[in-house]
Amino acid sequence: MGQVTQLLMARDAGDREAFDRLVPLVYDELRRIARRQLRRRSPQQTLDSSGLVHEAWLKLAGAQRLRVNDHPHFLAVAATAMRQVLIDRARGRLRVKRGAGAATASLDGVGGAGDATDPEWLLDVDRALDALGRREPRLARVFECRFFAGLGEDETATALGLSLRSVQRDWMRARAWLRAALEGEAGALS
Amino acid sequence: MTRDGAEWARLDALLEAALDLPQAERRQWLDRACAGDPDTRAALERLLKHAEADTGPIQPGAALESSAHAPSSSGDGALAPGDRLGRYEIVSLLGSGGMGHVYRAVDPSLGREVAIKAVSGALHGDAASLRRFEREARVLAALNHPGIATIYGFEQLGGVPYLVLELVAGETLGDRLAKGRLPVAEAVAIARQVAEALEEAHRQGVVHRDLKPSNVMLTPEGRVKLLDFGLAKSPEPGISDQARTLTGVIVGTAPYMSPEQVRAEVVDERADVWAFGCVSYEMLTGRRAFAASQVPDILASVLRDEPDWAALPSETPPALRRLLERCLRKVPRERLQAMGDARLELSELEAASPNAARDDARMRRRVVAVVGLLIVALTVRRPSPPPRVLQLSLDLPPQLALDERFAAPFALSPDGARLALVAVEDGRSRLFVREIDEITPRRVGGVDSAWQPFFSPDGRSIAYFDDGKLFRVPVEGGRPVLITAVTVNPRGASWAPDGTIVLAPSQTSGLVRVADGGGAVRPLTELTASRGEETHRWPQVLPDGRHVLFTVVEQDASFDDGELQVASLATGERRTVLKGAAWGRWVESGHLLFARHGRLHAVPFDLERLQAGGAPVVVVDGVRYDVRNGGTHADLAGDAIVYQPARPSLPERHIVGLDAAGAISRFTERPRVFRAPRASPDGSRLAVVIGTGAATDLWLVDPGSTLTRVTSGLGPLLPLWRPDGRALTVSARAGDRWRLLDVSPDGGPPRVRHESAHRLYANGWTPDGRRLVFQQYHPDHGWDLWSVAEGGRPEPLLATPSHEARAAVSRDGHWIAYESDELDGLVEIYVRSFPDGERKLRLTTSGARLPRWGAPGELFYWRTDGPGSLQKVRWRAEGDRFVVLEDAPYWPESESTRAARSILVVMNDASYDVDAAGRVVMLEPVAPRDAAPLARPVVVFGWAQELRRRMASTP
Repeated sequence: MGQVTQLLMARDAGDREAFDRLVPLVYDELRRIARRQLRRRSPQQTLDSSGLVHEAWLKLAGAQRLRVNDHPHFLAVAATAMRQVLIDRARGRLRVKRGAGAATASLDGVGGAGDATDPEWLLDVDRALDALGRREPRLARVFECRFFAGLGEDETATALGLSLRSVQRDWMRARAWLRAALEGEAGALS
Repeated sequence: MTRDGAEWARLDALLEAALDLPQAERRQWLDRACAGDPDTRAALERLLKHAEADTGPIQPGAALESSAHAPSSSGDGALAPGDRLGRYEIVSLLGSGGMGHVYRAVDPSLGREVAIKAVSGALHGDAASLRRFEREARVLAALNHPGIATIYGFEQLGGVPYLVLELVAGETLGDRLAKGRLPVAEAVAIARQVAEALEEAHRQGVVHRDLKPSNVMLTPEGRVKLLDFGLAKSPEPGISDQARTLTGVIVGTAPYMSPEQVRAEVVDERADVWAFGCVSYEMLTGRRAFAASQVPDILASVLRDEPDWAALPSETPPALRRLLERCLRKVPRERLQAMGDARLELSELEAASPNAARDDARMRRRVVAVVGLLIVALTVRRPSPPPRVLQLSLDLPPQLALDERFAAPFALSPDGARLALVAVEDGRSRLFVREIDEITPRRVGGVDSAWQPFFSPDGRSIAYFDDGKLFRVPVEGGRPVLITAVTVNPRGASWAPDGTIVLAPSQTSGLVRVADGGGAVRPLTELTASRGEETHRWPQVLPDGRHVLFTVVEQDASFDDGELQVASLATGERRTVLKGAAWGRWVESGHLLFARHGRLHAVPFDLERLQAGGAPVVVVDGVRYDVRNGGTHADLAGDAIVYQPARPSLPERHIVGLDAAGAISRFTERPRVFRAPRASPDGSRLAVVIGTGAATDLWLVDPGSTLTRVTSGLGPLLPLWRPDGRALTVSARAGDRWRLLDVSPDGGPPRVRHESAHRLYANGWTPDGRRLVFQQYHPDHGWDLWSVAEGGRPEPLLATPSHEARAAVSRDGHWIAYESDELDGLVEIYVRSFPDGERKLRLTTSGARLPRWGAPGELFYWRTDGPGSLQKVRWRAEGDRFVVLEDAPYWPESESTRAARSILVVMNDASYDVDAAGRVVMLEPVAPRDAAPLARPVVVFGWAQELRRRMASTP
C-alpha cells in the first residue's frame, strides 16, 4: 500500500489523475475490509457488502473528507467511517422495526446476551463505546478497528501506531468493560 | 454516575496489570493485589472473566457481519402478509435492502395494489431532515408521466416515513437482458421511451441517479416505466449527499455509475445521460459497457476505459453509434447535455423504421417554434436608461423578506436594469430578480437555497452559491446548471468578460478560478504563509478583465486591518493597493470603494498603474457590514450602487465579566477597540490590547476601570500573564520577524525571549514560570506547539502536519489542553500529560476550540458545532490519568443566561479568559448586530457621477 501513500501525496498536490487512480485502490481496501468478514457468507449477503463499502467510501470521499496522511491513518479513518455507516444502518433498522409496530425491547433491559444482528444491541455497544472513549480513547479506537471494521490485530496495531501486545491487551480490556457495561454492572462506564 | 472516574481508573489499572501476566498467573496475582478488599477482587474477577471469554456477540468484525446479515433476516421488523400498515394491507415482501423493506400491499379504500417502501437511516429522529425528505417526495410525486412509476404519496406511520408507489407489473429490462441482446429496432423503441421519461424528470429538476436495467420495467402492453425515483435527486437543496447516503438513497450501481459519481462529486442530470448510454449499449450488445468481476475494477474501468465500440452490431445506425459515444464521454461538460436531444435522435431513428409513430416529429416542430418565440422575446426587451440621479428604496412584497443573514444578498446587473436578490419565502432562501422599473420581483427557476448571487458580464446569467456549490441560471429562469462544487464556505465571486469566474472557495483560502462552463478549478492566489495570511476574499474582476481586486487578512487580525490587493489573472502575481481596508470595489468614476468600520470610503484609483492615491473620504456613512467576515450588503454596477444603510459597525467593545448565572458586569466605562483580555493570576486586574493596526498597545485595566498603558508603539498581540503576575509575554512583529517579548506591567523596555521568521504566540507558562509553551507557524505544517525554558533553546512539543495550537498549561503544570485536527480534520480539544506527553485524551468529538483552564479542577472550551457554546469540564487527576467528571454548557439554556449566551454567539469564537473568581471575561460589541431594525436597501442611479463631483470638491 505504499502506492496509496504516494497517491495520497500526489492528490494533496492537486493531481486529479492521482485521485482517479486512488479511487479503486481505496475502494478496494474498503472492500477488502468488508469482504474478509463476509466471505464465509452466502453470495447474496456479500452483495450487500458493496452497498456498505460504497456508503463508507462516500463518507470518506464526500465533502473532501478523504484527508488522510498515509496508509495506517487511512485504516484508522476507514474504521471510523465503517462504524458510522453500521450505526446509521442500525438506527434505520431500529426505526423500521419500531415503526412497523413490532415488539420493541425496552432500552434498559437489553442485557448482555445481545446479538450483533440486533440494532438495539449494536446501538448500546456504540453508546458504551463512546463512554469508554471518554475514559480511555485508545481502548475505544482499538475496539472500533477490531469490532466495527474487523481489522486484524496487526492491522489495528499499524493503524493506531501501537504494539501488537498493546492491541491484544487493549482489545481484552475494552471487551471486559463493554461487557460489564452491557450487562449493567454497577455503572461500569458512565 | 454510579462509579466515579477514580474508581474506574483504579480497576482498569488492575485489570491491565493482570492481563499483562500469563493467564494462569492472573488470579493469583489479583488475590495478592486485592488482599483485604473482597469487593475489588470480586469486581475484577467479573472483568477478567469478560476479558478472557472468547464467546458472545463481541467478536472481531461482528458488527460488519451483522450488517450484511440483518436486512434479510425475517426477524428484523419485516411485516408479514396480512399485517396492516395504516390503511394498507401487506400482501408480500417484494425486497429488502439498506434502505429498509419494499412491500406489495393493497389500499382497500381504493381497491388498488401499491408498493410501499420504508425509508430509514439518517431520518432517524431528525424532524428537519424528515421535512426536507417529505418535500423531496412531493417533488417526486409531482412527476406525472406515463413512463415513470407514480409516487402516490409520502406517509408517516408510527413515526416511520413510507413512500407509497405505483405497483408496476411486468418484467424488468434486466430480466429481459438476461435472455440476450435486443434487436436494434426494439432497443431503439425502449431507449426512446427511457429518454422521454428522463427528459420529463429533468424538466422538473429531478435526476434519477441510479438508472440501470433492473430499474426499467417493461409492461405487458409494451410500455416502459422507470422505477426507483426514490433514489433520485431533486434540485431541492438541503439534503446533503451525506444525508442521502445515510438514507441509503445514493447507493448507485457500479457498472452504471458516471465518473463523477465514482468520484463522489456532485451529480446532475448528465449522470443520467451517462447511465442512459450504458443501458442503451447493453441493450444493443447484450453486455455491459464497463465490465469487470470486481467492483473496484469496474470503477477503474468507468474512469479510464472506452467501451468496446466494435461490439455494437453491424446494423447499428451510425447516428445511434454517435449518440452512444456522446452519452459516454467521461467529462460531463463534453457529454450530451440533455436527454431531449437523445429523445429527438431516437424518434427520428424510429420514424425511419416502417412502423413508427409520427407524433414525435410534430412535437419537435412545436419545440422549435417555442424556442424561436423566446429568442424574440429576449431581444425585444430593452430597459430604458435611468435618469441622472435617482434613489429608490427597495421594497419587497409582504410575503418576502430580504435574506439578511449574510453579506452580499443582492447584486446589480451590469446595465443596472435589474437586481438579483436572495429573499426568504416560506422559510427558504430563494433567488429572485427584480426589474428596477417593476415592483414585484420574479422568482428565478426552482432555486430554493441561494446566497451571494452575481451576474455574468453580459447580464444574461446569474451565478450563486448553494451549499458549497456554484450554479448558474439564466436571468429569465430555467434549470440551474452546476459550475463547480469545490467551494466550502464561499466568500465572494466575480465573473470576468472572458468567462472566467474568480471565487474565494472558503474563509481560509486563496482565490481560485474556474470557467463558467465548469471544468477544472485552478488556484489563482495562494496565502503567503510567512505573512500568516488567513484569507483572500471578496474578489472583483477589474474592467480591464486582466486583474482581480480582493481583500487579504492575516490571522487574528480584524477586517478593519485588512489589505486590498490586485492579482494578475494571467500570472497570479499580486501587489498591495491599500491597507486598513476590506471589500474593495472599482467605481467607474475612477475610484476605489472600500469598507472600514462599517462605512464605505472612496479613494482615487489609477486603473492603468493599479495604484490608489490621495486621502480616503467617507462616502456612505453606515452600510450593513459584518466585521467578522468583512463583507458588506452592497453592490455596484456602472453608474449605480445598491446598499443597505446601517449604523457604522464600530470596532469599540466593552470588557465584560459573566458569571455562571449569566450575570454581566462591565469592567470598563467607555468602549474602546479592545482585544484579547487576560485576567491577572491574582484576579486584581486585566491586561488587554487596545488599538488597530500600528497604533496598538498593551494596557492594564485596574479596579475602578483605570486604564494604564504598558507599551508604546509595540503592536503587541495576545498577551499572556506569567504565573507570578510580574510580567506579560506578548508576540509582536519586527519587520519580517516575529518575536515573543516579556514586558513588565510597571513599564520598562521589553525583553526579547524568542525570535522567529514565522508568526508565533505565547500560549501558556508552567506554574514555576520557567518554561513557556508557544505556538509557531510552520509553512508546511500550519501551527505547531513549542516550548522554551528560561535561557534554553526552543524545543518542539507537538510539531506534526496537523493543526496544533492554543495550548494552555494547567495550574498544576501536569497537563496541557490544546486544539488539534489530527484525527479527521475537525479541530477538537485534546488533553496531554505535560511535559512527557505520554497520556493523551481526546476531550471533544464534534468540533471545539480555545481551551482555557479555570479554577483547579475546571477546564473551559468553546464548542463549535451548532450555534456554539462555552463548555465547562470538571476533571480530576487520578494517578497519572486525567479523568473527566462532567462536561456541560457553562450557561445552560435559561432566560437568565440568554444575554450571556447571545454575547458569546455574536462574538463567535473571539478570545475569552477565565479570571481567578471563576468569571468568564469577554468582549461585548457596543451595538449588537440585531439590536436595531434594519433599514431597507436603497438603489442609487447616477451615483458614480455624484461621487466624481464630491471627490473633486474634496480638498
